[in-house]
Amino acid sequence: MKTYHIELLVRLKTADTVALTAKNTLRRDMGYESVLLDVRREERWVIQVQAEDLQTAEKLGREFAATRIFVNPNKQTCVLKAAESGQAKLSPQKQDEGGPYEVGVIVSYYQDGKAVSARDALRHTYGYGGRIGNVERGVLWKLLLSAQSPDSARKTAEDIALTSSMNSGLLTNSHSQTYIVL
Amino acid sequence: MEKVLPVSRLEKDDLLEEELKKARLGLTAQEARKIASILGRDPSIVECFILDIEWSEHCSYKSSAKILKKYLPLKAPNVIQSIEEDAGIIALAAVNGRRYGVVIAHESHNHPSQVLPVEGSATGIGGVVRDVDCMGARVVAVADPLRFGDVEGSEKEKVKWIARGVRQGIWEYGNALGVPNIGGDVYFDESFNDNCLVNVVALGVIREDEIIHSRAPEGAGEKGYDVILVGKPTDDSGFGGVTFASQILGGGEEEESRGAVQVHDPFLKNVLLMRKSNSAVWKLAREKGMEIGFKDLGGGGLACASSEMGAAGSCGIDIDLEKVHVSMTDMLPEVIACGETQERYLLIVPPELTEEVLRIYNEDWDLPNIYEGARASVIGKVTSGDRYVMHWMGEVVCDIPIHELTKGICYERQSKPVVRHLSEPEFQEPGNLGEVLLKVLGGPNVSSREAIFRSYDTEVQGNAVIRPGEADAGVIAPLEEEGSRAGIALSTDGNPLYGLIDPYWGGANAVAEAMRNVACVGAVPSGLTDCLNYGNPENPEAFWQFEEGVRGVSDAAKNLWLKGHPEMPVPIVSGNVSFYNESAAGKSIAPSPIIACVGVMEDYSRALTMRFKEAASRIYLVGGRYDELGGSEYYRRMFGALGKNVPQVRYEEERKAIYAVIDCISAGHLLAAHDISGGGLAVTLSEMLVCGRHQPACKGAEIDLERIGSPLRDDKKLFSESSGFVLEVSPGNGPGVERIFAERGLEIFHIGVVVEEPVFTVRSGEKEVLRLSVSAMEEAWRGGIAEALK
Amino acid sequence: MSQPNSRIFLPKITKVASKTQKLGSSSSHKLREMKKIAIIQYPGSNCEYETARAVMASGMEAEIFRWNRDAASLDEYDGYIIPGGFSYQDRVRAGAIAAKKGIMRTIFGEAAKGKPVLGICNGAQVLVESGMIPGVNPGELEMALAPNTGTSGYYCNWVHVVHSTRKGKCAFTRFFEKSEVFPMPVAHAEGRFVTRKKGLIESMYDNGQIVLRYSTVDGKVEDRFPVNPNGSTDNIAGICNPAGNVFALMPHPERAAWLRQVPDDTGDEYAEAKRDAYGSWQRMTEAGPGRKIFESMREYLENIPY
Repeated sequence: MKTYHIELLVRLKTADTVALTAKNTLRRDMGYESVLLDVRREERWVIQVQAEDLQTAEKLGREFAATRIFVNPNKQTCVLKAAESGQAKLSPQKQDEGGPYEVGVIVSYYQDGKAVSARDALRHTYGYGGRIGNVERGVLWKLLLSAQSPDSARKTAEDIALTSSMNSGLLTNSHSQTYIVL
Repeated sequence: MEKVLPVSRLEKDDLLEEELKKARLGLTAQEARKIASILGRDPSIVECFILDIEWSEHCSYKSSAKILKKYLPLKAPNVIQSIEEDAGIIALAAVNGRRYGVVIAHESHNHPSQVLPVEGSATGIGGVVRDVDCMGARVVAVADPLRFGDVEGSEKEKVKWIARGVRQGIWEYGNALGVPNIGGDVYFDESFNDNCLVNVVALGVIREDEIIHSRAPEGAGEKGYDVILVGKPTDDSGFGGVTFASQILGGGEEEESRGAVQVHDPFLKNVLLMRKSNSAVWKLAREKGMEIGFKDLGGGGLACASSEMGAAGSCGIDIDLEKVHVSMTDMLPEVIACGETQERYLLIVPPELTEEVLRIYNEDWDLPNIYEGARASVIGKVTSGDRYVMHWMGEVVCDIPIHELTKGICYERQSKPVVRHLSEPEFQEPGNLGEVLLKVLGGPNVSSREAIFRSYDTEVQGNAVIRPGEADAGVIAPLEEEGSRAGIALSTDGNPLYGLIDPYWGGANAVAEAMRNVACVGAVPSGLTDCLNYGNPENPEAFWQFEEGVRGVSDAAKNLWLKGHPEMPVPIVSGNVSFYNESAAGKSIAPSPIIACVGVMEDYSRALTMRFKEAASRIYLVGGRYDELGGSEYYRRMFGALGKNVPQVRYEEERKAIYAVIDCISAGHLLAAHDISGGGLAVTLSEMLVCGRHQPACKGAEIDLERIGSPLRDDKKLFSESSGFVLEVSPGNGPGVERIFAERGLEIFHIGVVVEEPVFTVRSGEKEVLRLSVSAMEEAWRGGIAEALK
Repeated sequence: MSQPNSRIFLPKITKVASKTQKLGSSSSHKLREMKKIAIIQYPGSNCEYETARAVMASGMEAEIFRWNRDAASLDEYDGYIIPGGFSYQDRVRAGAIAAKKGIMRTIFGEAAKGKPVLGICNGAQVLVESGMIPGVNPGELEMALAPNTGTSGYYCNWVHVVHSTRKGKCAFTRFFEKSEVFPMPVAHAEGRFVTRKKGLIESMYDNGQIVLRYSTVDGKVEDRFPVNPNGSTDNIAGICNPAGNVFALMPHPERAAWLRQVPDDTGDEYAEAKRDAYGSWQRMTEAGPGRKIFESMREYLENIPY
């Protein structure tokens, strides 16, 4: 048995009003009109699971996705990835030179009750028991930025990610949340 | 017309059925031929979809209309507007010479909630508040009667998932919208495992002269009034929704039906409805002295709403479907016409108001920036003919005489009594009734509902007087800002187990209990709504249950007269029928007429809570104890038995008792009142000790069962669910209370006293029957549902 | 202290200014020009009307100020209230979007002049997200109102709070004695004050900014549910800025502004008063505990030159 990470990326089928509002606020009220081209958003779950091999892990992942916990098929679709722990899969998108660049930002709560209840539901309600390790939940923001270079796009994403004052940053309140720029 | 259903060519019914199925229409071959004969030609696909919806159970009441008409009492002196529009209205109070009314609507959202609990219950609230709002009213309260499966049975995980989801949908939507949730009730029974019931009641207040009608105003046709669609851009959500509501749920279909559940948006709704943009439009119309028509879009979407508004004003309607703002490309005209996208309204306004109405929605209240693609758009005209016409891509895709659209169809259903071989369980009286009481108090149908209602915003709008958990009914004072002391009380009821034994008494008891609950806070039961939840009407036994239930509801409403108006019923002013509530295996739910009762108080300062308040108070029992434990919590918890002797409603005694309790409260004679229902006298007394917010300094009570003139055994006296009340009366007011009951010819029993020490003692003469610490009772009672829902 | 307890009933409030003058409140205010409070209405706000009523009942004018009006025109008001609800549907985070709009920039500037600003529930979230609270370093994000712990999501109930700073420190608690305990309802899913800034809580105590804390009915600050209904750090329910003129409050004073609204089973003097008032409409319309928050605001405006 090895530990695998199942990543579920859950996206709304309908217009994402949260992403739209974030985009409009950043562009209209916070001065990103010329650099921020688009904002998209996915809910990201990472489930640690014990499995015999990658195939089994993927099969389990599909089972998890079919529970009622993570995906609401009425309005969401889901992409699933499984990987062995330690071979972390988070990496920035490959981009064409000259941009625009898509930069991902993952925001999660320090204490997330929903992640804990999802873990408990998998363990107890759905009977996966001790196979299930940690469950993490976060929002993956995808910022489409026009910039001179990937580095400068990341710098802009960083500024957008961390709220430091009334005038700067939006996606994370670092007193209750944490973030990673991919 | 390009796309037509070739009815005339398909002479064989099976071929026609096949074609209908291919088109995803729910019409029968016979119905399709009827459409062709009405039109004198083959119908277009759009026309078929529209009539499919208009003739659905949800829109046309095709199975139920005859029975409803035969039995239900709709008229009474206090009715301002009966059921004919989106919601009923009863008189509340006069302020400065102007009459105000309470607007009441009651809906079900059962099937969607079973499939997607969060979305289903949320859109349930969304729909019913729109019904109230579109009369021009200020929405002031909602309440949710809920029925879930057995939380302790084999399907418990699914049941809990549904129950938790429904709770979440209700709070996420109702709280965000800003409407307080002031009541509701919850029952768990295995017959709801595959089919939960999620009913919603909404209340509004309105000044009588400001009522807005859901019809084209007089002269709208001649003057060519504009038809304006407001709100969310139309998409394909909920396409086929009403047909869905009338289908039986089966394992596989749940997945497929998902497309039928609408996506809600309380945020947009908040801007439309909560004294924001819609009220600005009404104000404009009032200032200009022009009548407008206003209606929410519910089941059947644009087609239903626009045809009903036209028909109600005896006008034709001409709509250009291309002018409807949509959020998807390549939408079919029938989807635009019939889709059930949430958060939309239809307005009919004089052309000279159109520009200002558009400005109010699109600029002042900025809808396009609140929700992507939301706005107000002119989509058509009212015409002076009688044709209901829709255009699409330069073609006429629908052209039907408007009254043919809205008159619906009616079916005569077969009815056959259910034969049940029920019996009473035989057993020795348990030795330790204290233990029995704790077990009953901890049961999911009796224990504290806090785990549910503390998720609801019970305070928003600031009108609260009495909240869930403090009394049998919630009370608000919604006209205080107008300077009135009037209060509105609301309770919802319907014990499914009674209906299981006898659907007639199930209906009658639901009405009586709802009225008793309202009386317990001191309000006069003034209006009823019924949401009639039953199985498949094509099944004669299920249809018999429905008919018996309606008969019970209406007998109770007619016999428990409107106070102050002898022989007049407490009117049923609004309601809803929900059929096809059964599992894939064909098992119907317990017959469940769910009743909401609205009580009116002249002065809310008399509104009474149910907690025992003062040591040395007298405790009175109103209502004799009978051997009526059929469907009781006692039988169910202790013996897993249903029993047979269901409580009867003794109409005359019941009426007198209700009136006497109200009179005692308005005379200021009572300290607390609580009705007897599930769990009987024992649970009623217990709840008066433990209810409300936890307080270390609660009271105790000493009861003597011998004071009740009844030959029943002690356990049956304690747990019989015969109707009644328990009253707390300060010693000085004892004679006054006794006199009020004596004048009405009713015997009451002085059964005990409130004591300082928090202990509940029950004796029968010299013999001690039970003795419990109130804290042990409280623990059992508070734990029940919270544990069950984990 | 003056406590106007007269009943004020107002017709539908959309534009209230002139009506308030006409109906008046206690006679002492009629002579003076009434202070004018802007109640900010965001899309999704849902407590603006009852908040306006509570303001008017406390002897001030109230005007509901819609989000898309010219933010610069806000400077003509004497004080501001950001009411409860779900501004912008709590998108991104509760209060996060509203905090970025022009309205908050104007209010930030006016607050610096000493004008009183009250954020109730969602309004408190807006004040925290805009860096006005705690405002140890004004404008800097120093705290969060995180999701509740202890319950699954939204929780609505009456709680007790204890006044934990000196009388007169905060513009909104000028009528409360130190250690006074009173009931108010909470209704939120994200009300847990937290910070990861070292030493911040200590300096807030030093500055007297910890105004209200959740407590038992007898004023004991116990960190357990339901005494602390959301798991808030140090049971904090309300925080003011160092100057005391900006106040972020999670409980709802406008829902406790009349005796009628108070439950009769909270075990305190207000519950008793409600029971005593039984049968008297007159008394039911007298002030509840939350009224003093608004009356303090009025008193501050009338007596503190800024």
